[in-house]
Amino acid sequence: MNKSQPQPRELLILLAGNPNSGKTSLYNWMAGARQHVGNYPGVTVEKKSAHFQHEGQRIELVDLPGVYSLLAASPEEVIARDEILAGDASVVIQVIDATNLERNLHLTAQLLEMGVPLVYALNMSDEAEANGLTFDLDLLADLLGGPVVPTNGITGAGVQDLLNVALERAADPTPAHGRVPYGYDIENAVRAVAQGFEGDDAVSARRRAIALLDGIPDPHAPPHAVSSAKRAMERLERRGGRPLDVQLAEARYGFALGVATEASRTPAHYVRRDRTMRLDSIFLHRIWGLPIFIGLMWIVFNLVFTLGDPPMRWIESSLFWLRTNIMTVWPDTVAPLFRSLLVDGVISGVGGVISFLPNILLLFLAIAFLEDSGYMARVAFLMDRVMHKMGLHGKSFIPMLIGLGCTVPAIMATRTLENKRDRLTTILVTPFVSCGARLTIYALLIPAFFAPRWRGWVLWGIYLTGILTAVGVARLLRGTLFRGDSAPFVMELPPFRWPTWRSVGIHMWDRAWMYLQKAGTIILAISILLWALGSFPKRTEFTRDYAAEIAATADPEIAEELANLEQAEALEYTAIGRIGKFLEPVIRPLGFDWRVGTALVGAFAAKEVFVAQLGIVFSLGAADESSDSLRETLQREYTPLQGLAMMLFCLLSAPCMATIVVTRRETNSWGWALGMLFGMTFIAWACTFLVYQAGLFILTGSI
Amino acid sequence: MKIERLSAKVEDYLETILRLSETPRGARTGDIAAALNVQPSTVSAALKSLTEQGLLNYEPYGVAELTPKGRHVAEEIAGRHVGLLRFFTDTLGLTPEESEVTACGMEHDVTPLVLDRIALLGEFLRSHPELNEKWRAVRSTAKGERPPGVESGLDELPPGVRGVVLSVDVGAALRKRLVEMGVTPGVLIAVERVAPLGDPIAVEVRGYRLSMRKAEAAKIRVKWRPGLI
Repeated sequence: MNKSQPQPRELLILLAGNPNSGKTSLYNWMAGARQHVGNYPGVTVEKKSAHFQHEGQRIELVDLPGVYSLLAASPEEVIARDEILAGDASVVIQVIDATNLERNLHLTAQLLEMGVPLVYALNMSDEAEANGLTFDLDLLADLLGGPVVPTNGITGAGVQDLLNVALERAADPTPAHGRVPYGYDIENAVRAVAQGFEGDDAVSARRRAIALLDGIPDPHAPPHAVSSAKRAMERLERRGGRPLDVQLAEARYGFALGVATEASRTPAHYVRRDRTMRLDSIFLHRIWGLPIFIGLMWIVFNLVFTLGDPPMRWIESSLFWLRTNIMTVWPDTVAPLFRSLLVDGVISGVGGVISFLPNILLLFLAIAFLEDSGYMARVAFLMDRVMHKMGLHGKSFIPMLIGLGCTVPAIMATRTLENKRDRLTTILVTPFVSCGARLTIYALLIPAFFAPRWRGWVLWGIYLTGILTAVGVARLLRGTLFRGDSAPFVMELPPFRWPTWRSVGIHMWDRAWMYLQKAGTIILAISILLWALGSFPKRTEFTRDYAAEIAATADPEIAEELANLEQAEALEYTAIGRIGKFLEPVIRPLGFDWRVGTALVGAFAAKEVFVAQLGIVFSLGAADESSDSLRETLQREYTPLQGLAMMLFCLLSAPCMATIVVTRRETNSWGWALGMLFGMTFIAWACTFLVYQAGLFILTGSI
Repeated sequence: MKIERLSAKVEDYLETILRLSETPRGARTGDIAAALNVQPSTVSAALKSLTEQGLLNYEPYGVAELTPKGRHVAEEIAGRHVGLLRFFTDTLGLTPEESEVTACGMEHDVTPLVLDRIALLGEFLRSHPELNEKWRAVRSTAKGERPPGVESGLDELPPGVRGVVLSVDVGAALRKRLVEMGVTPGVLIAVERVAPLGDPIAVEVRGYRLSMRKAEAAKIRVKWRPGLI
């Protein structure tokens, strides 16, 4: 214990940079496993931070969202700007991709206006040197007003140096002294507007004046500064013949090009006929590009679901083993309520949470690989034409594909969409894509109601209905809630790079941990609630004395039948049974009775529960989708039209509580989650109503 | 009828006589000599030889007149010449002098099939103005041409041709996005490829790759520059 040593104050270091600059891999090298992923309040932007010590100094490192500019045009840009301006940071490190100096330095031009101490990590400089570029680091440091450290995000080289230099810079916190020259006319206007910001220091006044001239609203700006900026804008736009924000960007890029040309040896506009270009001519080939893409997606889908299946079964069978053992050790005469809570509520709830885990890990393995390699941007490039027609973004394709397997990881996969409207639309329509769990329902019902020759067509029709509904709802949302021009598809196609296992592993772990922590707890709670609804109130008086009759009979088959009847009566008495009965008037026009209603309420826990619940209400004991006796019973009780209505309702209603919880987690809002639940239920009800009533009319009309 | 292969020299005579016989003076030895840049005595000998071959009616010091057979051959040669000339000036964009010299050299060797195909290609481009426009622009980027200064939307810039951005005529939000990505007036830009489904496109600007939809690219005005990337 070094009690005598006073703990120095913790230094805050911000990591800024362009997307694809290798910022996150440098962050991973510095932060290691000590990182924390959270959300900035009120937005869906992730906040990644880590606390650690370097050379005895406590450091908080924050990985700011990757941005191309700080003009506050997107939530990411607002956050990056506000974090830098908050004034808590001792030093800001900009990660600069050495292979793309000019565009990275455009961000530097804006950082220089923030008046903060800057350190530059010239990342991937070895890759750039392999491409024929050389850098004059001293000159670069002079021109940019801060030390420049060459780093390598793949090997971690230079990371310790970078931290040392950042600490030195923090000890002497004078702001970086570089400055973008905007030219005589604009500089005059900047000075005139800056005079309006009387309370601000010179740096801040200049920055705010430039922001006003750039057309960025500043709610706290003095009115005369705003009006003087407005006049200057009109004058300068007339003189320049183009919008002022364009002129300002030209000046920043002029600065960037100047610095790049001075400090690196190879013309800034040189064309790279490199590996990326060769790979693009394969992956984006006019004829082979799409088949290769479909092949890769096939691999991703199979990786996630085929490879994820065995571990999922191990988890399920070990939970089953645990459950059976508890039931053997704990006789049902001792505290039966807690026994049931543990066995049927907690264990099955935990199972509901962690059985998704293999899928989620593998999905994020695949996504991290696709993103880090640069292929994800190509997916969007290849699919944008189709997805844009549906009112979605090229990147929406992967979530919808994953949705064919399971909606929960699919919704988590929407993180790759940067635009909020695109992302919300994709989240809200992905559940319509029929997931694997719903297949168990079709597998039970289709053979029960349809002749073999029609079965394939019905199944195909169900999947197609789901996809078409997703498209329809996406277009509807685009036309109403998310009206306006679709997000521009101005997207960087980053160079192809080989992902490192380290960053892929960290990415995978982050997601899995976030899922367990944030979604898992709520899913567990709802599982227990559903268990309670299915167990209470307890029926004490039955129509027959089942216990006595079972004890009296010698035939095990009769005993089982009696036990099943008892279970059915008990279920009818519970809250779920009552909800089913209570719902009967509402679902009657869909062709459902209270037994189907009960099964539907249970199916909210997970769609495959629908089949098990039907088994219980029909007194058939434990049933699964291959149960012939359940099929026979259903055939006796319902018409094929009612069977079709059940499948349609299950297809279009919210898949399961985990979907709702993950939606809440990903949108950071219960509003969207509950909106999805009620919206989907309404759509399911309306469509089923129309189909059932129309079917009824046609059938009875023709008789 | 047997098609005789005539010498290049003979073909030149027939072609010249055909051209001159359409003038009021008719084809006279002196004019033929001037047109072919040879001595009048050489012309007289050649005309005699052509008369013997049944291609010409010629009396010394008189006017040379083509026989029906001679006229047929001469018209065929002239057709070839005009076809090539037109292709060289219109489609290949060569100067009239260079076209004339090349056509005179080629017309004797080119087979009817090649000539047909060349004429067809020229006709095809003339009947598709938008393709012709693009071809002219691509051609203009090749060696020996002055930049034509064609202006168009970025979406019409043919892959592989460089352009200079003139203006970014889009709404404020998209404009901010484009200029922060480096698509500012004055920057060199090139379309690298078009997506397999026809949209979006990938452009190269400031040393990196950017993709955008054609509808967005259409609002970026560019001036075409010579030289392929």
